[in-house]
Formats: sequence, structure tokens, C-alpha cells
Amino acid sequence: MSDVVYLSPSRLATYADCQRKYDHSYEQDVSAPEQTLLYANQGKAYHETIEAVCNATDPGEDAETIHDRAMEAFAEKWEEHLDSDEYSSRAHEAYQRAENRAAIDAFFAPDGGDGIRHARQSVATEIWVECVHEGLGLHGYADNVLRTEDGLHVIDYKRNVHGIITSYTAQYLAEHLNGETHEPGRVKNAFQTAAYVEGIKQSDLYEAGMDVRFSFYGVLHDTTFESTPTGYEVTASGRERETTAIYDDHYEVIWDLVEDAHEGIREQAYDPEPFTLISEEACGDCDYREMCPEHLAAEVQR
Amino acid sequence: MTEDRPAWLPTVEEDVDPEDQQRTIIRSDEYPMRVLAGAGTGKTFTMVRKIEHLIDEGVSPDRILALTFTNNAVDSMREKLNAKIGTAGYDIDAYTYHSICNEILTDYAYEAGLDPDFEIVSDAEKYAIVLDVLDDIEYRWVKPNVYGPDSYGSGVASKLLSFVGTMKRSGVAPEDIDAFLGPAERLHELADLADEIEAIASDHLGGRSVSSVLGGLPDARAAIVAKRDALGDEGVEAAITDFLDRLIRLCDALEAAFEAHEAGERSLPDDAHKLPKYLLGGYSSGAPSGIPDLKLELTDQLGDFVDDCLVARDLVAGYAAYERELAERDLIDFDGLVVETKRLLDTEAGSEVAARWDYVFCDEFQDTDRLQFDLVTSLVSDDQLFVVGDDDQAIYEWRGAHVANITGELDTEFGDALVDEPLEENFRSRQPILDLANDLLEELEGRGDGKTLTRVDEPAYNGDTVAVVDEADDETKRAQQLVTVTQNLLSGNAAELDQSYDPGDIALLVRKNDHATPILEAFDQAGIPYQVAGDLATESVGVGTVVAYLKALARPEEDEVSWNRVLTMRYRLNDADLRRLNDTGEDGTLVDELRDAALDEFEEPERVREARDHVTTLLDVRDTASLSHLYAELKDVTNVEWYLSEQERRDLAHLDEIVDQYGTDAVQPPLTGEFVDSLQHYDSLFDESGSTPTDQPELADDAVNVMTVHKSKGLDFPVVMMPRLTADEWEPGSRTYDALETALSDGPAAAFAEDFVARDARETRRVLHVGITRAEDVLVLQGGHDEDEETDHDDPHPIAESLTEILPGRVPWRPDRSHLPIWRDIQDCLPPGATDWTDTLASEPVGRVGGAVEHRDDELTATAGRDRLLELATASLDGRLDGNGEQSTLRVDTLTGPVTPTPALSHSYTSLEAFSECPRQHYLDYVVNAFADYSDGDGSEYDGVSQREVGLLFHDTAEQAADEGAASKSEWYEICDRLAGQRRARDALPDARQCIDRYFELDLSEYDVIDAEREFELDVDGHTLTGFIDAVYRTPDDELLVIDYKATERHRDLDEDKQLPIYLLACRDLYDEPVTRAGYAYVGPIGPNVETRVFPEDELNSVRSTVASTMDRIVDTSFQEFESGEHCQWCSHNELPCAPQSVEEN
Repeated sequence: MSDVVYLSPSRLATYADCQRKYDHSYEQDVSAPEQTLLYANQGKAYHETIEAVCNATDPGEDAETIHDRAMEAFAEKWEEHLDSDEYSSRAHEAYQRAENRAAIDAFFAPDGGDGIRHARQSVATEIWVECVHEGLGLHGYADNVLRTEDGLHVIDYKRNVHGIITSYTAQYLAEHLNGETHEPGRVKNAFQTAAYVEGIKQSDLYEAGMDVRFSFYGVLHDTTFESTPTGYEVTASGRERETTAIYDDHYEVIWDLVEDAHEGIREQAYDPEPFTLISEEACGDCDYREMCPEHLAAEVQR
Repeated sequence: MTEDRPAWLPTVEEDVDPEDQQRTIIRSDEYPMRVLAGAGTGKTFTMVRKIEHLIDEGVSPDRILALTFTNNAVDSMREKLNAKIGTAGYDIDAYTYHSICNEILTDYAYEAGLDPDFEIVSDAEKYAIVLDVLDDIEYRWVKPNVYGPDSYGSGVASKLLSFVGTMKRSGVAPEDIDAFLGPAERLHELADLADEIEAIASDHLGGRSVSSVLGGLPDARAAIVAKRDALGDEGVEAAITDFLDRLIRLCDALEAAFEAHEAGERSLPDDAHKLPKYLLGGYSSGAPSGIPDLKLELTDQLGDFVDDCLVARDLVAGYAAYERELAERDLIDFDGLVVETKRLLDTEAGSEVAARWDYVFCDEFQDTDRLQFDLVTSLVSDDQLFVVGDDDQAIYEWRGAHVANITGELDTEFGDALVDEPLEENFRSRQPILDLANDLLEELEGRGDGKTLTRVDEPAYNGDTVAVVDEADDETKRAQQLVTVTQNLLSGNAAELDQSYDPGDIALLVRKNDHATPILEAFDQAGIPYQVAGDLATESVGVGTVVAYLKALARPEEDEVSWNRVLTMRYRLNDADLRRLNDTGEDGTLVDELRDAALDEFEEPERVREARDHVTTLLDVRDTASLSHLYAELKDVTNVEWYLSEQERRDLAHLDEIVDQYGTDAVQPPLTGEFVDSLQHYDSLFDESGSTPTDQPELADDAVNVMTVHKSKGLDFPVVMMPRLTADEWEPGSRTYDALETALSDGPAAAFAEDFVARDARETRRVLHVGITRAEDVLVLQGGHDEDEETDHDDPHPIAESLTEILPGRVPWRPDRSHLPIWRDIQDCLPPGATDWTDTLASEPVGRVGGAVEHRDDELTATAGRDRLLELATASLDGRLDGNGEQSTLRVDTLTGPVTPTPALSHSYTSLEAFSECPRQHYLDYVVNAFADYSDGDGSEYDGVSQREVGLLFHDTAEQAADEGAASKSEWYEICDRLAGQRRARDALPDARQCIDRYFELDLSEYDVIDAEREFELDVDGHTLTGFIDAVYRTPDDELLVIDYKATERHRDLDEDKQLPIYLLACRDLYDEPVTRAGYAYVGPIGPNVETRVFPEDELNSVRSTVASTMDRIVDTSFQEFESGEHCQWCSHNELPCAPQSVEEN
């Protein structure tokens, strides 16, 4: 097993998006200016808040205590990760803080917030998992692992679950594999599901007969902005989307996709293929577009 | 030329006699006078002649004030005045509407309560101030996001800029808005009023028959009355009261119609019972079945108005803070100039200001806003006002222009005293174009007058004039149609055309920016040169590289993507060297590697060294320089422009202008990546079409001019193409703050007195009119019908017909208010002789266009030739090329892009001199405008001050001094300093000042300057020779003397000279008296000295014949001929193999 190459779902998905993007992002490690630095830092703040709360919570602890702990942790994490100087106005920072705070408040709401259950059932956070499937190694950090009545439930926290794969959109996985369409986002969801489901099964937490599930959880999935005569109020609520069944239903296709990307990365094949599709679908949002030789060549020719 | 008239004054190009209508206006002594002048009728000409007439009548020029919108228009008016009335023209005050305010406020700063040193804020400073005041906004209904999801463009900063602009243009101050809106608590209560009305409709008007709905109407009416009666009678509540009154009238009208139906007195179409609930917004998902989508849910009007009020409630504090910041920094914005001047004129000082002029002349009056109207009327004494404009060309209403200024407002102000005169005789467009324009105006509802444009003195012409092209469904094919049309226009091969046109003769005028984008991409592919006015440029790769360089400098440690872009596109680093630089280790950065890595680690170390040197220099400058300085250094040090195509250089000029704005002012923007990015889309940040009536673009004469119709106002072109003429693309719409701004300006009851969508529809028709009337010879209209358009037109829905009858006058909104069937109207109005080019000139190029290349007996198109070249180059790199010369040689027949049959050759003394030295140099520089060889930015040229720059600065100073009548050394210094500052040539200033010192040691400086930088065109045996004479002096002996300044170290031999004889030959056409003496004034290091001599007639004739034969030879010139020699060392193409070895080695 020593010569197994382990790759993360993010790496594989980047390669599945565009081979040259992988080259720039991982092989050459070119740092792109963080367009959404403020959002990335917000992500750190709520991820670490959830992690801190889950780590500190016992299964039988009362909801109010968990909630208070969460609000305290959020204040610390926000202070730690968000820099006022990054904002053009104090008002902008205050608004984003209020939004994230409202999300944590709702997630750990004592009267039925999902976070109370997540904290009580959590058996591990930020856990490193690895798996090998037919010689293909996958690894990565799982945000939270819950011990449920039937087994283990892995949670990946995100800002929202818009665009996350559904049983309906899962059909695009096969089309991506065949080069008929370009669906790197959903392919990534599938890779994450595969990596964490199989990774947990090959971890110390797993016991024979356990049921293993995987879900994405959008902490700020729904937000509202309510005006008042003196200011505004924001509310936020989360949404879970489980993808275990999709993994089961599209098992072969997903592992074929993993194999394609895995092989390409190992062989350092970085020429974008199929270029026309990638050029149409991927270049627009790519952080490396400005420096990409294939993209620039197409532009100059134009 | 008379003796008392200085020869440097502009001359009248052609002494045109006014036509009858113009003559009547010019000679009339009646004031106030309004002239509604159609497009191309010579309104400026008439206004200038009228001013001239006044002066002839004995009015002192300094008692006349002439106002217009653009600096270009002022310059043009001034030139015409000077040409007609000589130096007296300078005594007339000709200003833009804004610059007169600046002038008055400068003179009366104390009375206006301003610091006398106040300055006008630039757009750039304005934006910086807006960013500073964001925390003053009270965020309740406005989200505090500074950026939208993609850019600065949709965030709160952009919202505040737009709000301040709208309000200031209408003269609405923050305190006015505050008072109108009232307390936030009360507004909050009103926020849901539209929903409440919709609930009333839903509760009472949901019956399934006319009779059952009729039963509910009184209840609905009563509920609305109750809502109305709960409102106050001032400000926003008064406006809402007025709106509810209109709804109550609507209920009454519906009730009356339904009762009549029930009584059998009138019929109603099926589903008419749904109308009340629909009109009052009771259906949650728009029009119900049976009701067409009329866009008439009237509660939307209320909802939008209240939403605008809520946003304004928050933003007004930001507006007030913005005003405070301006005041604290002694800055005043463009709109503020007019506000402050109007305020001053309302004080005691007002009458003193107005007393400065007896007559006020106003051009383009239809574009004035409310404030400018008040300004003008305040400046008029004894009603001696002359106003000219065209209500049919009023296209700036959406930016605050008040069209009624030229119609109803003038009537109200002056009553019966106002005299009207028409101007309808057109001197620009061919009659079929005018027929189309005239007929289309018939569709314009509520048009004030009935002008009909008629062409006078139409020259002979044998070609199509109005052509239509049915647009293809596919975007790429649509663009290709216009590319093909353009290629045909450029070649002139088609029988449908009277002649071929140069690219600069053609204008592409668009309604919206995105209409141009695909066409520009297609122009790129076809190699058609174009110049874009404003922010219409497509993503230009070259501009992107320059912006990437700025971004990399802004965040050198973080933005490695931009570094990679720069290293690839500017420094041409290969993949291996780039990978080496990106291999930065754990904590390193690319910029560290670039600065520190050993050069022997790279395959092409020289390229890395060059990049390293440049980046090190620029990073040193970065921390202390202003944005504009850094930008200038970037261009100087890296010579990046050399790497850009001609098109990319044109695109870059727009970025130059924007960066220039930042100057070296104290208010500087943050140099962040986002900010640098935003520079690329700068205009869109400030307004949606990148256009104001005060802007007028510079035009290209060697490229197709592309602009919005708004920017084309006042311009004309031999050919105009207008794409995307469809109902959907030209659909009118309401704009933010429409109703609020109207209520603030005209009182609460005005908010809902007009349908702003219908107003916009009228303006849209005028935009079409302006576009069409820009064309002189050929107008190409490309458009099509939208789906269902024919059906709607042929068979109007009975519900819409019935509703039109029912709606009371108090309800201004009508069915079909937003439908503008522009293509159908064009088709209906096409003049006889209009032709359809869809299957002809828009389909196939006639004859060969685009050049050709021969290779191995194949004749390849330019595109195929390029591909073949790349193929061969790749084969060469791969070592697959067999070295057979025949195989690898491409013979170029024509590779000049779209061909014009007779390439226009322009001769000047300098070009002839170049030809006599080397025909190849002449061919490269003057025939094909080839790029100069790359010159290293770090070379000696960069380190030292170029003599050329010194010479230019001195020459321009001398010209400016002559224009301004500056005769003393200190005045010359002042001009020289100013020019050096403007063009960032401060390094050249000390040497240029020395030139001035030397000049003032010459007797010459005491002589009268008759002409400076005098342009001439000399016809020599059918060739045209153009040039500029530096100066013509009158000596104390009353002799005219031609002088050419020399600021260089090179001495000229007068005996062998050809330049001065050419000037003397040109003087034969320029001056009434003989000019025989000419010479050089040396003001450079070998001066001061003047050497002149008399050139006898036979010598001039001999030079003339030599020049003629040279120009004959030039016609057949080609790249093949060359002369190598000493001159090669100064040649900008001396890296070609024709240069002697010694030059190459240097």
C-alpha cells in the first residue's frame, strides 16, 4: 500500500474542472488574489465556532449552555479571523457580522436548532480520513462526525447548499464523464461524498454493521434583511442536504470519475481537454484565467 | 486679408451665404427668440452669424454671452466667430453652461461664500469621497454591502453616487429631501401600503362576473378612501394621497363602465371582470388568464415610489456628508457649480452679474436641466435672450435634462413676447434619410412642433442611401452581417455604392453598450480597425496586461496570477522559466524569486533580468507615487505599449484618460486590486451609458468610430450603421427616483402626473432620430421583429382596447405603454428607393477584400495565410522544416486588411526628407505606419531628456504664447510650465526654459507675430503637401519673414535648404503680400542665432519641380527599395537587415 497516491476531493475536482487550473493551483501553487477574502474569513469563523462548540459539548449537556457557548465562541472567532481594515466601511463589517452571528444563533437555537444535535452527537471534528478504493487513494478532513442510532453521519459545513448535487442533477455525472457537459461543482460533491463515506468506513470510528451517511449543511442557507425605523435586523437559518443515496445510486460513475482525475494528476497531464467545453464553461470563473496560456492564446487569436 | 486683421486668426473656410430661414433669424431684432432647429440645419452657423450681425449693428462684443454644452462646441463657436469678426471674437464671452458658472463663482467667490481657491472635483476624487462617507449613511432599507457580488458597480457606493447625481442635477438639496420624506418611523408605516391596496383588491374584487365585481367595487373604493384619509397632507404623504386619489377615480370609472354593461348600454369583452383586481395588483402572479400582459398593475407605481423614498431616507445622510466633505476640502462638483451660481444670482450680487451682458445666446437648449434654465433666465436682462435647440433631439431627459425648458417653460417665462422662428433646411443628410427621419417623428406622441427636414443643395450621388438588413437570429451571424457591410463599404466595389469609404467615414451607433460588443469582436477577427468612445471596449488582451501589471504592483506578494500574466505577455518568459519562478518554496513569493533567484537557473536569463530590473524600479516608485505617476512610470520603464497591437493601443487610450484624472491630487484612491480592476469598467460606475451632454468624443479618421447614439450627438458621418433595432432591445422603462425627483422638483402632486415609461418611450424615439440624422450619404439599419409582434400589432387585444376607453384622464398609465415597435415603424416609414441589403451587401463581400498571400502556388486569404505561417513556424521550431527556401517563403501580395482602392498618401516636408534618405524608411513610416523597433526602456533614451521633447515643448509654448498674445519672457515661462505639467514633461522643462532665454535674446522676439503654427496645404501638380509654418513675423521694415525654430544642435545649410522654399511657396496662398525671406531661429545649444535669406522666384520654382517629381516617385514606392547609410542610426527600423553592420552592433 505504500505506493498509493492519496488525493483530496478538492484536488480531484479542480482537475475535473480544468487540467490547467490544477497545474496552476496545485502543481505550481500560484497564489491567486483572494477575490472573496472576506467570505473565506467568514467561513473560518463559523467553521471554527462549530468545531469549538462540538469539541466542548457532552452528549447530555443542556441546550442553553450549548447555545451560550456557541455565541461566546463566535465572538472570539470573528475577532480572530476578520480584520476591520479589509472592509471599506464599518457598516459593511457590522452587517456581515450580524448575518453570521444570526446563523450561529439559529443553528444552536436551544429550541430545536440542528447544531444542538450536532454538538451532542459529535464524536470527532476536523478528522483526517483516508481510504483506498481499487488502488485509488482519497483523503481529507471531515468537518464533523456524528454518532447516530444507526451509525455515523459525516457533515460538511458550507455557507449554503445552493447548487449542491441532488438526486435529479446527479444524472449530469455520467454526462461529465463522457465529456458531454461540464459539471465540476456536482462532481466535487460526489468526490466529497465518496471520500468521506469510504474514509469513515476505513477509520477507527467505524464498527462493523454501522450505517454511514454524508450530508452537506448550509449554515447561512436562508438569510433575511428586515428593515426597522432605527436600523435593520437579519435572520439566518441552515439547511441540510444528504447525498448518501446519490453516492449509492451512481457508485460506478463516481469512481470512474475519480479514476480519470486520479490518473491524469499522477501522469501530470495538464493540457485542458475537452478544451472547447472547458473554455466555454470554466474559463469565465477561473482565478487563473488572466495568466492561462491556453486562454490567452484563444483570446489573442480572437 | 485686411491690414488691421492679424493673419493668425482663423479664416472662413467657405463664405457661405445664409439660406432664407437663417437670414430671417440673423437679421431679426426681436427678443426673446426661440429657434427650434432640426438636425443638420446649421444652428451654430446661424447663431454665430446673428452675433456677428449684432456687432455690425454696433453692439459691443463684450456685452454678448454665448452658452453651449461641450468644450468642443465652445471652441468651434469661438473659431467661427474669430473667422468672421476677427479679434473682436475674443471679447465675446463664449462658455459652456458649467464653465460660465466657474467663471462667475471665481469672480464672486466672496459673495458666494466660497474659498476663492476652490477647485472642481474630478470623478475620481468624487468616488474617493463617497467611499469616505459610507458610514454616515443610515442603513435601514439599504444594505451596507460596499461591493455587489461582482464589483463596486452594484454596491452602496455606486448607489450613493447615482443618488447624489440625480438630486443635484435637479437642484434638490439634502435638507429638501429630508423635509419631503419626514421621519423614518412614518415611512416605515407606509412601506407596506402597496401590499395593503393589493390585499383590498384581492378581498373585494375577486368576483367571477361583471355583476359580482361591480358589487365589490364600492367596498374596495371605501377601503382605499380610508387609507387616503389617514395620510397627512405634506411631502411624501401628499404624493401618496394624490396617487390614491387617482385609484379612486379609477374605481369610479370602472364602476361606471360595469354599470353601463349591466344596464345593457355598453359591451365589455370576456374576462373584463378581472380588470379591477388586476389593475389594483390583486393577482399575486401578474395578469390572470384572459388578460394580456399589459404591465398595468398600478400598485407597482406606488410600491416603486415608496421603495425609492425608503432608500432615499437612508442615503440622504450620505448625501449631506458628501456635501460637507466637499466644502471642507474647498471642492465643488460639476452640478454644484450651477447650484452655487444660481444661489449667488438670487442674492444682491445677482443683478451685478447679470448686468455684465446685454444679450444671452444659448445653444442646445433642449439639454438644459432645471437649474440651468433658472441660471439662464437669471442672466438675461431686458429679455434679450436667443435660444436655439431641437426638442426632437432631446435625449438627456433621463440625466436630468428638462425638455420642457425649450417648450412650455420658455412660454411660461416670457409669454407672448417670445418669438418663434423655425430652421428646417438641412445641409447634412440626403433627402431619403431625412424622409425616413421625418416620417418616424410622426409616430412621436405629444411632439411640440411639426418640423419637416428638407435637404438643400444636395450634391450628385449614385448609390443606395437608406438600406435595411434583417438581422440574423444568431449573435455571431448578426455581427458578421455588419462586418460584411463594412468590408463592402471600405472596398467600394459594389454597384450599390457611389464610392468607397475610409474607416473613419463610418460610424457604428448603438443604443446600449452590449449591442456593440459582438460586433467589435467580429471587427477584431476581420481586421477592421475601430475606435470606441467611452467604455464600450471589449476585453482587450493588451489592456488586460497593463491592468495586470498595476494589479501586481498593488499587491505584489499576493497576486501571483497577475505577475504570471505580465511575465508571459510582456517579458515572454517560457514555460520552464515561469515554473522556476512559481517554485517559491514554503514561505516564498514569486516576486521574491524574481528579485533574488540566480539568473543561471533560467533558460532565458536576459528576459528574467529585464523583468527583475523593471519590477524593482516600479516597486520602489509604488510607495511614494500617485496612481497616475506610477502608471506613467510603468509605461515608460517597461515600454509595454510596444507589445500592443494598434487596436490595443487605441483601447489603452481610454485607460490613460481615466488614470489621468487622478493627477497628483491630494485625494488619491486606494491602490487595491479591486480598485485597479474597476478602472477597466470605470464609466459604468458613473453612469449606465457612459455619456453626458457635456462629453464629446475624439474621433478617429483611420478607424470605424463606435459609440452610443448619445455620444454621437452633434456629430455627422458619411455612413451610419445602427444595429439591434428591435422592440425588445429598445423597450423603454422607468428609472430609479423618477417619481421622487419629480415630486421634489415640482411638488407632491407631480409624482404620479406622468407615466415615466411613456416619457422614456418618447425619448427613445428621439434617440433613434438622432442616430438616423447623423448620416450624410448612407444609413444602414439592422433589426427585426420580435416574436408575436406582428400579432399584437395586427390584432390588438379587446381588453386593451376596452381599457383605453375606460381609463380616466387622471390615470396617466395606458396599455402597451412599454411597447415600442421600432422595426415595424421603420419598415412602415421607409422612403421610396430604400433597399434591403440582407442578401446582398450584408451577405457577401463584393470583389476581393482582406488581402491575399501566395504560397506554393496557393492564393490564401489573410486568415489562411496566418494559419499557414503559424504552421511553418511550428514546423521550424520542431525541426521539421526542410530549409527549402521556396517552401518557407510566403509571398505577400496584399496584406493590408480591408483594401481601399487608392490609399491616401499624405506628404509633408518631413516625409519627403525621409524619402530622399531612404524609400524604405518612408514606406514604413508614412505609407503603412509600421511600428518602430522595440527600444529598451532602460536605454539612454529613457535616462536622458530627448531633444525632441524639448523642441516640442518650446514650439508649443511659442504657439500658445502667440494665441494668448503673451509677449514677455515671464509669460512664456508660465505657459511652458503649464504645458510641461499637462504632458508630464517636467524633465524637459529646464532645457525648454533655456530655449526661451535664447529666444528672448533675439531681435525676433521684439517683432510682431503674424502667424504661429500655421497649417498649410500646398497643391503641387495634383499632389498635396501639408505642413505647419512655425511662425511668420512682420519685421520693423514691414516685411513678412518666415521662421522655423530649431531647438536642436544641428545646423542647417541655407543654400541647400528645401524646407524653407516649400514654406514660401505655401505663403503664396496664405498671404496677400509677397513673402520672400525665410530662415531658421536657433534657440538650442548652438543659439541664440537667426539666419535668413531671400529665396528668389526661380529657386522656388526649381524646388517646386523637384518636390513634384519626388512625389511622383513616391506613388510607386514599395518596401523593396532602400538606401543604407549614416541616417540608419536614427532610423526607428534599424534592426532590419538593410542597416549597416555598424549600426546593428550599436
